[in-house]
Amino acid sequence: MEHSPAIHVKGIGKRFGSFVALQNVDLDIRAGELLALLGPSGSGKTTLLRIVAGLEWPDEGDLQLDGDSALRRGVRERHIGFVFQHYALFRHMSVIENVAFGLRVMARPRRPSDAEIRSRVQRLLDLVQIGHLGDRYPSQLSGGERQRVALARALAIEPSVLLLDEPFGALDAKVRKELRRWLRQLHDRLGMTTVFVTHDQEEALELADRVVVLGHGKIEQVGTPEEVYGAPRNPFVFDFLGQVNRVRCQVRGGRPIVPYAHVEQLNGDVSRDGPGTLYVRPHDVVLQRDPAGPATVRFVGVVGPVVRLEIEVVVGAPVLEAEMPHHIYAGYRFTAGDRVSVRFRTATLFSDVPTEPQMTPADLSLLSADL
Amino acid sequence: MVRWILILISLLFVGTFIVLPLVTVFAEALRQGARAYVAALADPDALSAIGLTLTVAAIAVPLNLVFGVVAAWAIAKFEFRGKSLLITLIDLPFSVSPVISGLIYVLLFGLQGWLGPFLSEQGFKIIFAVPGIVLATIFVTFPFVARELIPLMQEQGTDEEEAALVLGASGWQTFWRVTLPNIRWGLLYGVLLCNARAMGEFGAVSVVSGHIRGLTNTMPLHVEILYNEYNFVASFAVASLLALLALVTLSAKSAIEWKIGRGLKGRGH
Repeated sequence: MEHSPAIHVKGIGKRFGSFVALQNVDLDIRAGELLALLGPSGSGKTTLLRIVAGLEWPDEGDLQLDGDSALRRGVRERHIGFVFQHYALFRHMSVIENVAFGLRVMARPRRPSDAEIRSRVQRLLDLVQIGHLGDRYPSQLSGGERQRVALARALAIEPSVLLLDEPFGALDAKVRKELRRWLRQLHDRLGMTTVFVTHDQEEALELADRVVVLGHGKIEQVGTPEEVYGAPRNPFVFDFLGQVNRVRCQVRGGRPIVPYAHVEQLNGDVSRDGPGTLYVRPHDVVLQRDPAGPATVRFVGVVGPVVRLEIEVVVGAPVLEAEMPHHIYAGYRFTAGDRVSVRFRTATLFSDVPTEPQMTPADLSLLSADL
Repeated sequence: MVRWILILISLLFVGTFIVLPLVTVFAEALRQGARAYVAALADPDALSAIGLTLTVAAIAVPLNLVFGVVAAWAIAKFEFRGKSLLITLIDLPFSVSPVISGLIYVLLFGLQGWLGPFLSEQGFKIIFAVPGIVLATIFVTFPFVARELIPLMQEQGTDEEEAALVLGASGWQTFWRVTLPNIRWGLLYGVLLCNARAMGEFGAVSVVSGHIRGLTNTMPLHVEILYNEYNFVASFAVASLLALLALVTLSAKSAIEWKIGRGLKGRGH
């Protein structure tokens, strides 16, 4: 099914003093999807979310909501549901008054009657499963309950888009998992375009329909969780999503040369000779017992869902990390000191030789100074 | 042992320097009985001093309330150049002797002052008149509200205001429904202190007032005049009103602190 974008971000840039928070960001967010903005702190993900909400203004670029430019509209007129990282509940109001706020401040002709407001608030509280907490104050609620109040408050104005800033950041691990599953169900039920910001890759990969990976104010990759995890487009995404080994190599004649390992399936561009780096996930490192092998097992960790091994190839060089399921490990029973041979089941090559002259941000600012 | 010594020293100190003078004020005021006390307060000059003090406070306190909220809001919720200078300037009246504060206005608006001759040509009299007293009082009391609100508003941040705006509230609605309720106890506290100082200020007001009986005498000035005339009963009778004001302020302040403390611990059902 073809969707027109609910949110269209075009060439957005934003600076805070000399800090570049976002540069030239383009992004289409589809109606009804659940999208994650994923990145380390300082990558600009929250700034992007706040620009969409109207809480920040971009220095350049355009933003369209449902086909209209939103930059002419202030935060009040955008009609967006926003859940703040620390919830920002009104501390002097009961839960009911918090949720009712968006309805009570409506201009008189549009404002529902008091009875209507009360019944809508109760329906929302039931929806987020805290119907019995209406008379409490925020200080009397747990983190998870506050989160639900914040969500109900945002949904009360029947927004077309729901934005969440680190929605699970302030919760402990167990509550976080529960709420995550519950938010997914809620999204599937309401079908509302939803964007959330997170620095937790697991959260993004598990919850979202599509993931936007941000780094240093730029979009590094957009795709489904499978795409960004399985086929990272560049070293940054590789590093940020999951564990990865970085192996220096030389590319010659269309092959990466690694003296101690055999590469079975290679991704990436090998058209240019020269130095490069192979990115290999630990579960793609395959070991075989081999007394004449080039590598030595240094550490074996059997606790947890998989067995983790550290392999030393050259004395003093960074170790390789390998992972294998317990039932495979049972066939080998490696111990520290074993000699092994190494294969990379899948590896992705990023050449050090640039495809075309890359422009640094400094060059770009020189260019714009000329204009 | 140490505990009892420390408590004893504190009690002696408070007793000598605070309770004893307070008791003295009321004892002296009532020395010749309730009739003389009431007569001293019913004296036209005393009534005029009380009236002037109330008038001055009624002008200075609301003005400083508005100024304090505006300044605290600007300082706590926005970033701008010169912010630290503004904070320093707000503190200025605390660090300058009140007499100097009074003299500043004499220099500005007095007949030999910069603006005085011009203003007196227009028929405005500021020094040795009520406007001068109001100005000096505003100057001396303007830090109270702002000082009380700045740390409170800084700690509360702008999250709740942003949440209100996203939910469609106007700036005005946000102020009345979110910002003001969040600062109400701090604000009341600041207003109380501001009011106590506005009514009790002596130094600055003394310089600009001219001590004209029945016209430019506030309560503290009236107390001094009566005392210098050896009219002790009348003097202490007026002083006892100021002392009562202090006691009321103090209890209101404790009540607010109790209220705030309870709010922090969560509201019971």
